[in-house]
Amino acid sequence: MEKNEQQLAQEKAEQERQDGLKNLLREYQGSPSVAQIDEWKAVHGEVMMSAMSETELFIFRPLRRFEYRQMQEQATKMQGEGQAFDQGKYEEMLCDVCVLWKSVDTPWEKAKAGTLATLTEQIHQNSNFYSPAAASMLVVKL
Amino acid sequence: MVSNEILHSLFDQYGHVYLTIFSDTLIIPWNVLSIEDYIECSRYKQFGTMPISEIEEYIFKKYVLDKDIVKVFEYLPAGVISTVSANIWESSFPLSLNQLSTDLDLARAELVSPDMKIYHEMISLILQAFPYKPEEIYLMDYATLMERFSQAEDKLLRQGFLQKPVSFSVPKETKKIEQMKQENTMKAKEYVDNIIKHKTESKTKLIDRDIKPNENHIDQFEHTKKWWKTSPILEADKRAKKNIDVNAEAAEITATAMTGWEKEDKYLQQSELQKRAKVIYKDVLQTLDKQKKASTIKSGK
Repeated sequence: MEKNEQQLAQEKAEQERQDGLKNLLREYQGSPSVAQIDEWKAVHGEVMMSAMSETELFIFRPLRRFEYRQMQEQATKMQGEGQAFDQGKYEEMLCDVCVLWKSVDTPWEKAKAGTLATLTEQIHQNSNFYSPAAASMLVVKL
Repeated sequence: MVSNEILHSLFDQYGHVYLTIFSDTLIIPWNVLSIEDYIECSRYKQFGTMPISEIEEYIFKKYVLDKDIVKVFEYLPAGVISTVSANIWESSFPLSLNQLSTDLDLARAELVSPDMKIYHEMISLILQAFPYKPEEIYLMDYATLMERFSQAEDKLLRQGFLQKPVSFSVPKETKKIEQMKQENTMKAKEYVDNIIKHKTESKTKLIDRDIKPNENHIDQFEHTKKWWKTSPILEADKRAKKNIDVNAEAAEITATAMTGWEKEDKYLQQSELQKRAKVIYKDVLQTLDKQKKASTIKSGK
């Protein structure tokens, strides 16, 4: 099917945006190459980037269902063994699974206080977790 | 935004179902839970006997209609299963008692509506006589329905559950009401016709008589105009044709309103009030005086 001019323009704009992001990444030491990013896309489907400041960049992917279940089972197991499992622990676990690269090579406990919570929210949103109100907006009856 | 073509193709494939649309490439068709599953899952949720994620996956695997998606559900984004399960859950049963009451009222309305009532009564009679399910009766054609209905009627008459054969005629009470309505309509029509006839005749009479206006008739408009031109206080005196004794009226009021020491101080208070009023209403009093003098001069003429 021949693509019309509008579609071509959109694709061009998207390509330019992607190139801009890749150029931005090159400024950071140890950043993933284009080939690496393409490989991640092939494996995980989607790859997202989040910039919390000029120095804090994160590349992450959506959480899969089986990983979500495994995390839930692990949480249940830890609680059964008497170990503490709270929201902070969950956020850390989630980011360990889903964050593919970060520009600042510091452990999570030394990152800024809101980093994990914000990343968790971003990962959830890109993993198709919706609020009940937003979820009901997605429904159509044939 | 999903195109109509995609929606039409999904309708052709699945019929009347629900869709959760995440994107153009991820559309999940599903149906609502059966009551049995709804109750069972409610039990699991309430007593915590099954993790929420397992309940969600159970609902997703059973009620999502696209089995290709179900096969790979573990590799879908984690929120897809949770979101679709939540959608299915909300659509399967009302979330509040108010909604339940509203839905029940709607169902009742269909049973009693004049157009639908007869179908439900026929089905109900067949269900009484034979071990059919309603869904099986809905699949019957008209000839089979009438055959089963007559068989059910015969069975129930023999067993004594029916006293007499079913009749589809309009009930007598309804007939009576209809008749009354018709009579009332006729009466109303006659009444209106009479009024129109009477009015037409009256008009004709007026034209014949050639009525002239009464010269003694007071023109209300003129009277109002005159009233606005002069002081209402002075005009009131003239129209009443007697002088209003303000002092007498005031005395009457104070006699009933004032007690012992108030009566003693009344004169002091009055003079004090008059002094103050003269200062405050000086311009009004002057205008009234001028008008009084002007009207006195006019009447003198």
